[in-house]
Amino acid sequence: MPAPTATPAVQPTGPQSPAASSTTVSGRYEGEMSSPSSGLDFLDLRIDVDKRYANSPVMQRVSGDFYQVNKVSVPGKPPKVSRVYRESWIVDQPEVKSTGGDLQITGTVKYWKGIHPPTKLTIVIGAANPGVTPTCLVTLKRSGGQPVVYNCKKTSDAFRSLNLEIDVCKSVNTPPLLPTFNISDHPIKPPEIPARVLTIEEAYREAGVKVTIRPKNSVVDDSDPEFGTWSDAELHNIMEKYFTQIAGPWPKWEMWGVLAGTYDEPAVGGIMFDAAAAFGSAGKSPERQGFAVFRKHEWFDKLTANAPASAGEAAAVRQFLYTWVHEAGHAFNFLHSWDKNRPEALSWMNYDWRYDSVNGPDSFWSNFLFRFDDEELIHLRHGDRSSVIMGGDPWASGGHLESPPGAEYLAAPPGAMSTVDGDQPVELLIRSKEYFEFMEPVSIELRVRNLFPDLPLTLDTRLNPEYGGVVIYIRRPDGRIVEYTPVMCKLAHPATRQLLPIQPNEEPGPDRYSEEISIGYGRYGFYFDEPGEYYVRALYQGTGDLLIPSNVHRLRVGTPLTRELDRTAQDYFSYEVGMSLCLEGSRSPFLKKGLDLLKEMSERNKESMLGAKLAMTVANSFTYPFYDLEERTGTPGETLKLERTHDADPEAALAATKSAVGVFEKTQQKALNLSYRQLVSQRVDCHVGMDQNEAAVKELSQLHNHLENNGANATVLQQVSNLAGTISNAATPMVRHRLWERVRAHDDLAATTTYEDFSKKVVRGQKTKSKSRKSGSVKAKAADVKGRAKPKRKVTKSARKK
Amino acid sequence: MIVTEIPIPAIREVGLLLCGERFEMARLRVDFQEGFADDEVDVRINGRESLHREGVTTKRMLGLAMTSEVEVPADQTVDVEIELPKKHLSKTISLPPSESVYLGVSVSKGELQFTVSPKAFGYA
Repeated sequence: MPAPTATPAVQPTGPQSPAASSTTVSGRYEGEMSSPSSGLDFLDLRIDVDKRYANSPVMQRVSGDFYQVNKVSVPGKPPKVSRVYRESWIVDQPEVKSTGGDLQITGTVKYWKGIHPPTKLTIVIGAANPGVTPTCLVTLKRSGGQPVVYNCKKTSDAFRSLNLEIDVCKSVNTPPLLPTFNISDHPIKPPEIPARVLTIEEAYREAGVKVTIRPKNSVVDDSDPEFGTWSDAELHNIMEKYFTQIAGPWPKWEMWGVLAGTYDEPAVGGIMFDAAAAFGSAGKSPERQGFAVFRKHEWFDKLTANAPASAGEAAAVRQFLYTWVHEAGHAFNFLHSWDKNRPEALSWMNYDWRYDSVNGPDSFWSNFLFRFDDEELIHLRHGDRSSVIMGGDPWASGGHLESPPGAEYLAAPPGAMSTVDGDQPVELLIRSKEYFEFMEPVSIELRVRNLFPDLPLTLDTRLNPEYGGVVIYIRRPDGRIVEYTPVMCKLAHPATRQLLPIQPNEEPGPDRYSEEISIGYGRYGFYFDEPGEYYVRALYQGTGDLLIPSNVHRLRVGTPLTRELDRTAQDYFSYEVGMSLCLEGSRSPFLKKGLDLLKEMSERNKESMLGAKLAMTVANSFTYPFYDLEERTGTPGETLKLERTHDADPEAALAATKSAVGVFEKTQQKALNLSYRQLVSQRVDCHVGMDQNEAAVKELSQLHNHLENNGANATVLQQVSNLAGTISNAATPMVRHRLWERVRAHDDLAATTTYEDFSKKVVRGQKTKSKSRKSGSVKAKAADVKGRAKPKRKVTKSARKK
Repeated sequence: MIVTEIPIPAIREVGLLLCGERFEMARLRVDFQEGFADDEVDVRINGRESLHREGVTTKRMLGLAMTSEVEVPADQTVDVEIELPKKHLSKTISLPPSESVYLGVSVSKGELQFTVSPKAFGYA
């Protein structure tokens, strides 16, 4: 069979085997939930119980992926739909029987992640009639729950689909660029093997994956005479440049391959270079996106564009096919056979010489049927989606069929791998500064943004995980993925806010809402207590079953800068310090040890961001009085009175954070804008409390300049200006706010048009806070506010715009 | 990785001086394959140090840590000793005379294992 033409494009070759029988049921199905709630969920289903394609083994499995459907109504237009992948499941060895023309498949569902009640699966596929697509009704019945029903339709006889983009280096841009191997061409083969012609597409079609090779390819000019061999870093770099699908959200069913010259190590004929450095590769997350085949390897010395005329030429074509299929297999998260304790597997993922070293020369090719082994087929067809899809689980990660022994601890909790298919209505963004000093409290900015250009969205903007609407996942340096669990669980009314659509030329601001969340300490202790690389991701669960996953954000925690800091870690990573940080400062005698250490560390490290952030917590404990119960006398039935044990000391709070201001001023990072705003807000509160309005305005002015130089948008700058204007024009309101809520309260205050509105909001805000207080909050003095003089000039209406 | 290689011409010259006649040399490729983790490796040919490397680590993606080539006498049996001094592992294999020989070395279950092949090992 002639090899495909090489230039200018790589021509994909189609399948040569006969089509599958039209009466088989195996293949891929999909459909929406019909009961109990129509359209809320979506199922991607794979049935593997009868022969769907020639030379394609049957694995006797059923598997599925659940998606949540986000539908946003648009007046006068079809709803905007996106799907968020949630989780995958599998049924081993289902029972299959015919009942009156219909086919019934039943079995027990096994979920890959999380804890679920026992679940039974029943699939009923209607009898096949000419011209009519058979119905496929899928029912999942959870123990103690009501049945969940999906109405599905068959979409393919393959279980998965993949787009493969292939580029070629100029030095090897001669045919054949892709393999076409006739099994009959080489004399060494299993006697029973079906004669056929194999290509990459055909090999994977037999495995159960429909591979489509993109028709156009790029030519990488490697003709520089100084250039010799490819390194992993260089391969990864050209993938980033040439792979047309590299941009955009991952994971997705897209893969890139390149036909290159020679690798740094000439013994290497192909490599999947896109895995973590820990595996000796160049990749960073997302992984498993690309691979390379090295045409100048001695394996391919006898490769010819014509039909092979000798066993040597046939062996070269055979090896060419093997290398392409093998490397793509790595991108599907396959390990080598011996790495899975299957050194004698007759699989694309084994090395022929390794098999031969145990079983004798040529024994591999004498027995190999040009397929993956059964466990690999089950993984490929029915594995946990995150562990198969490109850019999903990192290579060789745990908790799935292809994971290496002992890697189960690397399994991700449910939800951690959720991704969006289609247009999503809301963006959930995580960002922070990229580097945190060792022991520096870790906080991230969570931002929701309306992505519709023409539709306002009303969202609950309580983004702190304490309220249950957002879940945060953290991948630690050792690879474990844990769910951040806050110390507190709060029940409250939603804080809904309308995010307006904006056009590309409009100033951002009204379309988004941000909140800074501290995630350093939670119910199970400190989450960032080790130096190293962390990844953070969030899931937002809004009203109406809206489910939005965030980006994956990377940050690094540094090593202790001094031996002294290293020794201090012993005391720092303690309950008292953790709770002091979590409560944003506390004068409780039970946490005194923690606060004292924070005070000491903030003074010793006052020139660093570590010291600055600890100082904010210390200062917060001074900004309002603290009440505690009087000591027990031991009298039975006694009533203990709350008494003030500490007065507010704004002067001490200001002294504690004086150096912190300088640290933030010196650090020109947009990621610190929110933190700096918090700090100044706290200081402004103190100044205002001490009737130092001029000092308060001066700090706000400094903040304004800093934010302006560090990329803050116009809305934020306006809010700061408004607040400065309000303070300078009004008599001092005696208000106190909690550290974090200060920023939002000030935003509200700054948006008011008259002083009456201003004072009403302050009073109302204080009344609301008193219902859900943590230790340290203070009741507002409404009488103080009512008696204030009116401002000399009104805040303009433009200040209302948020 | 620290590499110390004994120059091949030096071995050739010694061969000529001792034997007084030229003898044929063959190429021995030694592939350090599975099980290496930041190891120090020594290779001796007929008792003479031929290669020393540190930081040898298997790239899991390939099942290969490094390859090296040494020249050995083609017309006599060659004793090849591989030693991992820090792991107290050492093993010797006698290779018959051959024009080219490929030796694979792996660490498995606490032992050194050899694979001998008449053709080059390939990795993917």
